[in-house]
Amino acid sequence: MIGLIVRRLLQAVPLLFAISLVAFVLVRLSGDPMSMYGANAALSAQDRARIIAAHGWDKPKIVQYFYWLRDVVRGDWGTSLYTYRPVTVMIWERLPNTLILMGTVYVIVVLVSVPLGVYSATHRYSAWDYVINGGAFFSFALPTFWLGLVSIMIVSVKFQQWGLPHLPAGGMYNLQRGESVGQVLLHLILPAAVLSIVSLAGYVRYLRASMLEVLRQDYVRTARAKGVPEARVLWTHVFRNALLSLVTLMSLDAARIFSGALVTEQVFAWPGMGRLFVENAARADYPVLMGLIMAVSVLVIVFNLIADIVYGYLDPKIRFG
Amino acid sequence: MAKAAGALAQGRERRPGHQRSGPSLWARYARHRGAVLALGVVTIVVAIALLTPVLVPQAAAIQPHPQNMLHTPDAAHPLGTDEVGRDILARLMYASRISLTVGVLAMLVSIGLGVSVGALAGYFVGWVDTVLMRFTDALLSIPVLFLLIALAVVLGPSVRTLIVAIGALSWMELARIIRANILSLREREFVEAARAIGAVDLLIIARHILPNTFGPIVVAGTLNVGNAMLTEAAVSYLGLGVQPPTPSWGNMLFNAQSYLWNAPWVALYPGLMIVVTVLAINFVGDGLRDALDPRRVEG
Repeated sequence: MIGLIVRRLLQAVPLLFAISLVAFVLVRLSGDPMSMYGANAALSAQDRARIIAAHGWDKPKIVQYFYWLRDVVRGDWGTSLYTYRPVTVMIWERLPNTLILMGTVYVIVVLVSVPLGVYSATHRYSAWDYVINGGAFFSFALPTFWLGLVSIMIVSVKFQQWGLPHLPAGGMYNLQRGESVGQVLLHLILPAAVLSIVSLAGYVRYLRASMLEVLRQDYVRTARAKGVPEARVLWTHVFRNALLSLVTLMSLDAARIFSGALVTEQVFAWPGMGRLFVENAARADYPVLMGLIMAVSVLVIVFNLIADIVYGYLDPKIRFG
Repeated sequence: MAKAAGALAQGRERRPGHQRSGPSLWARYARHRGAVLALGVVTIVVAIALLTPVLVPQAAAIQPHPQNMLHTPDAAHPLGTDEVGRDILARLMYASRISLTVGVLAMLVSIGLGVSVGALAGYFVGWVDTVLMRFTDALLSIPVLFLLIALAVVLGPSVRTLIVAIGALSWMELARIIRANILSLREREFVEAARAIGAVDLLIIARHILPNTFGPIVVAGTLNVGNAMLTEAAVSYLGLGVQPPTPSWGNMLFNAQSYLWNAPWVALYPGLMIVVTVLAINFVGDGLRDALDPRRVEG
């Protein structure tokens, strides 16, 4: 097991280098950091030249990449070009908030998709199967941000107008009530629900399809033929195998859920990493943007690794040496 | 040689377009009533998009009329007006042209890239495969929206940027499907036969292998149109996509959040158009999947 983890981490290193190179060139091309000084008359041409030279912005982009890489390898992620705050501090502030949102979404997705997927596979072509499938299809076509807007419109705006109990429209705390676990949970309900609804569809359909696939296997027929009770066939033979594909999907999906979280955070003003990225994207604050892209990539790789380990525990056919 | 020619003919016979036995493609598609209905919806949306310039003057969608700001729906403005007094129905109609264009063209870009990468990786195996697939995996492990936003800023937000960027970042799954298909196809007799009579690799890929992956390409392509439209909407909603005053279903929602309290219709209709259109396109894709792959067990 430890061998697998070490091997996977070693494989991740070149991948992270490749990602960082592509991302750096993109992000660095995306705007001129000098533009923040605008037409500031107090800044002479010599001053500008000095700033440019001090940052190494006159060098080719690829050379700048290696400057950045050298600092990162030494543990220095740089400071924001706007706030002068260390990038690591800025990301550490936002990271837990994104993980709270995503973690909640993963828990909801598993808790809801497993019963729905199992039910629709074992009751194929029943009325509920059609409802579940139709619902999944519908949620595939839902834009995350629009579902967010509509849910704010109904659950916070309309409920308030009608004098009903309503949920907050955005943010993480009520500024007057201060930071508390209860406040965070209250503010978490809408964004987590929206992101879960949008993510659920894939899981339900995938789980249903893979259970149907397993149900057709010879060993299921054998189990039935030798008189194993149907409930046991389903739980020990079918479900365990279908769970494997769920784990695979969860790891493949990590990157997509991060993208969904980016939009959701924007709609609900949830102070996570996605929102930090959007705030800084338009102003070429490349140390911050690079830090975020790398942090998210590392998280995706870690999720994949966790999925592989869980997979090993679930699948009796795989034994990691 | 005769055997090789026979096997070659067999390979060619499997190509779509050549009549095969059994019910026609349309007959198999039409079994799916939902898919037929969805095709109807898509046809209507496309027809409206095409006819819009004839039906509604463009000025109605672009020219602000501050005195008509946030009008509730009435006879003159069936869906109300937006925050600068433009007719929402007219904007929705013009936006359908932008959203569909981005969806279809981004799909073509993604198919071009996905098919090329998948075919090269699957056919040449070895280091070509390793390099291309590692690259594909790398792109799959970065949340695409982050790169898309960076790309949109680099190239300057515009319709053309969106098409290129969305296309360039949505080919990875198709590449994997094509590669898997080709890995099995390249061992088949008709490919061996083509190789035996001395056909060049690229010719074998283009003439003998790719036509056999027609089904997955069409299905993935259809689903990609819907996904590209969703992505366009998300990026435009963030303000980094289609730029005002040109309307797209996404950027019509850019300012909507500020008016949820007193003008909810501003946020409602563009989203509904996205949902209905993407839902219909996905249903068509699902119907095509069942129609093109007779081996697929109904599921």
